[in-house]
Parts: sequence; structure tokens; C-alpha cells
Amino acid sequence: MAVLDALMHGFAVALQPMNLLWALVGCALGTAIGVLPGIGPALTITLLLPVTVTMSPTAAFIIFAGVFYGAMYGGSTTSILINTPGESGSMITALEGNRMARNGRGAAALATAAIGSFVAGTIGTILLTVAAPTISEIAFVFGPAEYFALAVLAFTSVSVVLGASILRGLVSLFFGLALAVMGTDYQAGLPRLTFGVPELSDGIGITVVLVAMFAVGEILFVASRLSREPQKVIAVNGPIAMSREDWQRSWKPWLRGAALGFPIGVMPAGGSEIPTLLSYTLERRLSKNPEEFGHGAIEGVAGPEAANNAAVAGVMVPLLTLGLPTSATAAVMLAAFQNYGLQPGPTLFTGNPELVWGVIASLYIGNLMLLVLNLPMARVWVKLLAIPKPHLYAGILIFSLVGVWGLSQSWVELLALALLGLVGYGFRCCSVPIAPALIGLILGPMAELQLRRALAIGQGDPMTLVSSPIAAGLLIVAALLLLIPLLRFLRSRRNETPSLTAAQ
Amino acid sequence: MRKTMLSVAIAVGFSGMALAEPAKVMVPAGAGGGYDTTTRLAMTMLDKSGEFKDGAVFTNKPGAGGTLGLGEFIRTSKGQDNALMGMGVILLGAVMATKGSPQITETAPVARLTFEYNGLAVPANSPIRTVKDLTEALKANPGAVAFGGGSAGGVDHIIAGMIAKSAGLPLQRLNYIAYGGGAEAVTQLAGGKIAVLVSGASELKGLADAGRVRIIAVTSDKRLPGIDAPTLKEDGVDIAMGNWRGIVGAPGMSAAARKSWVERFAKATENAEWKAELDKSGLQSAYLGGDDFAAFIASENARIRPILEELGVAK
Amino acid sequence: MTAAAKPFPVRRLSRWSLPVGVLILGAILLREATDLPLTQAYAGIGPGFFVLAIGLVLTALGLALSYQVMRGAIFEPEETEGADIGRPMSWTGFLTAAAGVFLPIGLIGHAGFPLGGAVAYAFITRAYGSRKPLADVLIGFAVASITWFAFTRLGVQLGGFFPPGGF
Repeated sequence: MAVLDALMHGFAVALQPMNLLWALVGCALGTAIGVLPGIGPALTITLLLPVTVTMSPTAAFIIFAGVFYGAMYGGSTTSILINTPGESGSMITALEGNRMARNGRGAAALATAAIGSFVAGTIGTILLTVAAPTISEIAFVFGPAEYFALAVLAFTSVSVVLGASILRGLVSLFFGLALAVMGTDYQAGLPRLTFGVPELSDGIGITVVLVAMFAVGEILFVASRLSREPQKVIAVNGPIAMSREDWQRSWKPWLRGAALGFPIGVMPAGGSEIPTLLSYTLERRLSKNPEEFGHGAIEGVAGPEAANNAAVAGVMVPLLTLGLPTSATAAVMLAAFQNYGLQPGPTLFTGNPELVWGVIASLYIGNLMLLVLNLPMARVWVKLLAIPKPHLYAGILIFSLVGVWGLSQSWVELLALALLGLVGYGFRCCSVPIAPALIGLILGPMAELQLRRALAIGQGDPMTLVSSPIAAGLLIVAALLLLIPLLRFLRSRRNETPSLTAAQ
Repeated sequence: MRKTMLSVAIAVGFSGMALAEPAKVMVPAGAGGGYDTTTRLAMTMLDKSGEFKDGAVFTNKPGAGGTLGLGEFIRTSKGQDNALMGMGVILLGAVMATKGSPQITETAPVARLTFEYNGLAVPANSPIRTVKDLTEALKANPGAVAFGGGSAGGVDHIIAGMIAKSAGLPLQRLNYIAYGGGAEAVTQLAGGKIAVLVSGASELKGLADAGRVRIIAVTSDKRLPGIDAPTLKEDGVDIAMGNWRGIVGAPGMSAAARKSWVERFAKATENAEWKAELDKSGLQSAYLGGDDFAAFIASENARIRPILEELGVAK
Repeated sequence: MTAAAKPFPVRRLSRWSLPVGVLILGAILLREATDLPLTQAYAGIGPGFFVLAIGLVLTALGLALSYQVMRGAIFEPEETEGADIGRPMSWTGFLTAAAGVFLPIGLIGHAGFPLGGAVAYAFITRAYGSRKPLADVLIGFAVASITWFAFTRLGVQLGGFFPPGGF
């Protein structure tokens, strides 16, 4: 088995003492930021981008993967104990988990979340191991036309699925695309939208945009509408463990959650929110005691928590095999690959096997580490919630400044950070989603490059874009994603009194 | 705005000695790229071979093909005896392509360090088997020969231009497809998306050995070990061209300082470890020091300019 | 989190900020596209094509948003952890936090990272309700210094610890 062989080599890389240490650092960091509301994995990895300069790519991605998984573990702790999801993927967990905690069953809720995350995370990683090399063979079939179609599909799906309204999703996407064309044009060497400023000749750094829109935008927004309600942390008594009955009621939801989470994570714009919601609905329907739902049903914690961890493994598939990010965190990881001059995709499997398989192997190890970090130590992590809000947000700003200043030491970039932070604030005020802008910024150059390449190879004939069944199929799916909601909206307007909320 | 001035200080020689005055090294490219790794490796070798143990402070300044870094180097290090900059043939092209760019001739050439030869490859099932087939195909229908290679104005582009020129083709008619990374380009070549690719010989070797692409020629003077392909010269195209990298000193560096840097690099590049490290990334050691290097830069400039002008890259 | 609270809508005039902002951005791109070649040999599309296309779409989106606003659409703020979107916007909080974000632009280069960071830190804590500025500056200096040391150790250069030209 070639896959097993490759995986064993991966373990040889991941089990080197330094790499184990990095995995531990990543997992601990991920759990911590998962526990803290307001900082997500995307932001954390962004802030860590400067260290990629001195670190080997393998070490860096082992950390990043640990952060990604760890955030999901940590997020559940916050959901259960203070009814505030630490991560968007843990929103559902808050529904049942917090009820359980209030009924004095917090320990069982934390346990089923952690063990479920481990089970589903491991299943997801196994599926990733099996699926990735097969999918990566696609690369030899993929040419410029196919990559362009793929980017278009990512664009439409991310703007349609995320956020409150398609219109605002598209605004965000095209804002990102506008930022993406800034700088020197790759094929012709002409400056675009640089306004004669030499600092702009290579465009706006992804790190600056990410940190500005996520961290600075959030700092400004929360400051302007500060909630006066104090957070209440529910104390957990007794050891974090599950009774026999808890196990019996948990194991099936774990497996079902994994089965839902992985495939949806693989899909463009699948993310981790949708599978958790689906898993919750499914468990509620299948449960023998549906009346418990809403009052602390353990299935409602076990299923969604398994789903969000399996989804994370799913998200790694298109990222590693096609270089296609399907979530904000994956988009940042793609940016990190680009920092190293690496293009994720099939060539990564042939060109840097020790990197890819090292990272995959470290996912197995990371999951195990996270179980150990989270089961006995959940109480320690909860202590992080004692950091007062003023210092939490001020600390986030310090880290943002390090991220930007450390990359450039240029006041122009600090200015860009502040101005784009204002844009991020504006986006939040009008519920414009931020992820599409990031996808636009990161995939925009790829889309343009591949389109122009495809047309040059086809000597200007636009039909080359749809000449292969894969490219045509991807473009059709993209068009449908955009057209179906539009048609539904037009029909609803014809039948009913005009209602604008339907359009939003 | 990505003026990414990744100033990364690494104390190279730190074996308990006090750091005297470390070398100030400008890398006019991002961290992790070709210039960056070669330059850092060279400085490490100076330390390991005991030639210069006072350490080095690196400044990465990518942008505009390296001309932003060159400009800053010239502005900020005039007359400094400890200021060096990594550079290479790609910077020569970028200087020509960038309006109002500072000139390499303002700096003090120290040494050429490495050479990387290119190969010319086609998909395994391509009807093109020799360079002659390729020039025939170019003459017949230049638009149909999608000619892949690295970024516009780089060595790959220049080689493609030289081959097209030898086929008597007006260079505006070359259908050149620029790729950012060699790995992506080779994969697309193997998938038959482009007709022919110029890329680093070591990048082509992997898929050539796997039987997915076929190397039809190499751009070196002599055949390369481990690659079963003739040189361009053998096939009647009189071109030898490769991607070389080197080190220049600050403008107005004193003659004594320049001489001692030249000698240090001459000795450091004899180190066996230096050659072993280069081998890993498919590079060859190619030391050429001082005035010889200056003359080499001049001859490369004279050779490249007309090609880049005709390709529409040089202004 | 106060999930039940009704979001406090943006004021009448501010409702136009989104459509107008999008239209301005679109105009900038369209203006730029006129300076760039739209076509190129073989590919047919040149460096200006994408700029033009993005400019056109942004203009269309801006017009669609304007239509929504004219029809009375209200853009509500997003649910965010720690924020109570049922309350009207606090200008004091916003401006204090904005000061913390904008001040480092000049400060970090001239006063060094730890000092610039300390000032930014104190402004943010103030925006978040802390009323101990002196203590916050000191804590901020400590946090920024520790960060400075940690990242410098990792090889990220953040400039000198103290102001470049001395005090």
C-alpha cells in the first residue's frame, strides 16, 4: 500500500522530538484561542505568519494544523460553561451543552465533547489519508481552464452560502478581488491601482488585510457596542468522565456526526457550521427521548462536536490536494504555503511528500494530544476566561501590531492596517461577511492568471474555458448556486408583496 | 504594499565570540526564495570555513523584480565596506524591465557563486522529439506552441526568446505562458496543457524519470550528469544560458574591502559542504570573482537586452 | 451574548454608507481600467480586463444596494461575541478604540515597539471600560515587551527595543 508507506514516512517526520513539540505548541495554542471568545483559528494563524520566515514549512504547518484542530476542542469548553461559543462551529454545542452544565452535568458534557472530537477527528483524518492522494491525481487533468472554473465555483459558493444576503456576500467578494488586482500585473509587468506608491508595487499583503478585517475590525466593533452583561462561568464538580449510559447515548451520534462533517467539510464553502447544525437536527429526530432536547440532551453535544472536528479534516482535503481553501482558516493556511513559495495541490504530494505526510501524521498525533490536554485539564483552560475583557482585546491589538510590523516595519502598512480595520468595522455594522473578501483576495490572482493562461493557450478562443467536461461542470454548478436563489427571490416577489428581507 | 522588509537578524557566527561588526546583507527578494537561500547559504559558509565569523544581518526587500531592494541598497549603503547584496541574472532582466530602475553597475561586483542549468521538456506523448521538431513547429504555427516557463523577463523567458529567434520567428509572436512556480508548470506540462516548458533541469528531472515528461535538451555547455538529453548546441541552436546568482558589494566600497570579500568567497566556495548543499537543490558551484565577475555581468547584459527588448519586456 | 435582543439598526443617513462606499470603489477601478491595456496578444484579454470587470460588477452591486436602501432596507449589525447589538453605537467607545489603532502608525517607528504598543494598549483598555490608565500603560508595556522579546527570539525583527534615536 503506497498510502500506508507514505503515512509511515509521515510519522517518522512527525515523531521527531522537535516536531512533537511544535504539535504540542499548536494544540495548546489552539485550545487556548478556542476557549477565548473573539480570537479564532484564522486570526491566530495569521498572527503566526511572520514566524514562517525562520521555521521550516513542516514545523510551521504542524503548528497550524494543531491550532486548527485545537480551536474546535477549546471552543466547546466555552460553549458548555459560559453559553458563548468560542468558535462559530461550536454554536450548536452551546444549546445543549450549557443546559447540561446548568443541570450539574457539565463534566459529562465536556467529556462527550472531547472524546467525540477525538473519535471524529481521527475518523476524519483517516478519510483524509485515504482520499487525498486519489484526489491529488486530478492535478494532471487540471489545466488553467479547470483551475479558473474551480476558483469561480469557490467565489460563488462562498458568497452565496456565507452571510445574511447574497448581495452583501458578493460585495465582500468583489472588495477582496479589488484588493487582489493591486500591485504589478504578473503577465505584463504593468502596475495596477498602485497610485504611484512604490510600497504598493507588490499589492497589499494578505496578512495586513486579514489582521485588519478580523482583529482590528472586531476590536472597533465590540468597543462601539460593548455588552454590559458579565460572563458567568458555571463551575464543574467531580472528574470529567461519562457514565455507562452516557457512553451508550454518545457513540452513535459521534459516528453520525463524523459521517456528516467530513464530506461537508470537503465541499467548497462547506465549513464547520452547516454540518453541526445538520447533526443536531438529525440527532433530535433520531433520539428516543426528543423531549430532552433543549434541556440538556447529551446527543445534542456529542453529534455536533464530532461533526465540527470531522469537518476540519474535510477542509484539509481540498486545501492540500487542489490548493482550494473552503474556509477562512484554510485561506490563511494557503497564504502560509504561498509564503514558502509552495503551491498546494498535487505537486505538493510529489514534490514535498515529507511535508504533506508529516502534517497528516501530525494530525493523528495532535488529536491524541488534544484529548489529553482537554479531558483532565478542561478546568485549567477555563481559567483563561478570567482575563478581563479590556486586557483581552488590548492584547489582541498588540499581537496584530506584531504581525504587521514584524513583516514590514513600514508605517504605510500600519496605516493600511488601521484603514482596513475601519472597513472591517463597517462590514460588521452592515452584516457584510468577511470570509468572501479573503477568498477573493487569495484566489483572485489565481483566477485571473489561470483565465489569461487558458485563453493564451487557446489563442483567445473563449470556448476553451468550457471545452473540458470538468471545467464546464464546475462552471455550471457555480452558475446554479448563484441563479437558484435569484430565481427563488424573483418568484417570491411575483407572488407576494415585495419583501426586502427575503432578498437580504 | 507588501514591501515585506523581512529584516531577519541571524547571528551566524555565535560560537561564544563577541560580534564585531556583522555584514549587512540585502536580499532583494522574499524570504525562502532562490536569492534568499543562496545568499544565506553563502554567508553561513563564510562562517563555517572561518573566513568571516562576525555574523550577518539580513534584510529581505522583495518587490518589482528585486529593483526595490537594489534601490534601497544603493541609497542606504554607499561607501560601506561591510554591506553586501545577493543578486543574479533575474535582477539584470528586472532592471531592464523597470522604468527608472537603479543600475547594477553602481554596485561593486564581488563574486558569482552558483549556476543552475535549464532543460527543455515536452509531454511524454508529444510528437516533438528534438529541438529541430520544436523549431519547425514554431515556424509552422507559433500560436499553437504554448511555450511555458517562469515569470516574464526571467531566464526561462529569455531562453524561449533565444530559441524562437533561432527559428527566425518575430518574438512578439511567441506564445509565452508565464508560471510562478516550476512545480505547477511541470504538472501542467505532464497533463499536456502546454506544448513545451523551459525550467530548471532539476525540477524537470522528477517527472522525466517517472516517464510523464521528456527532456529534449539542456541549456548548458556540456551534457548534464543524470539527464539523458543533448545540449542545445548539439542540436544546432548556439545558446548556452543558465540561472546564475552572485554577490555584489556596496557602491563605493573601498578596493581593499572588495578584495578581501572576493578572497573570502573564493575560499568559502571550495568548501565541500557548500557543494553538497548546492547539490541538494540542483545548483552548481560557479565561482567567478571580482573584475572577471564584473566583465561577466557586462556580457550578460549585452546578450539579454536585445532579446528582452524584442520580447517587449525591456523598456 | 444576548441573542434575544433586537438588533439596533443603523441610523438613517449611515444606511447610505455601504452603497456609496461600494460605488466609490467601483468608480476607482473603472478609472484605473481606462489607463490599462484591455487586450493582449494570444490571450485576448490584457491587464485591464479584470480591473474593468471588477469595477463594473462593484458599480452594479452599489446600484442594487442603493435600490434596497431606497426601498427601506435596513442593514443590521452582525451578532458578535462580547457585543450587544441591541444597543446604539457608542461614539466614545469607538473613537477611543480607533485612537488606539491609529496612534501606533507614527508611534511605533519613532518610539519603538514596546512604548508604541503600551500607548495603544492603554487606549483599547479604556475603550473597554477600564479606568486605570496608569496601570494599563504599565501592563501594556509589559505585554508589548514580552511579545517583543518572544517574537525577536523567533527571528522576527521588530526594530530596537527603545526608540531608534534615543529618548
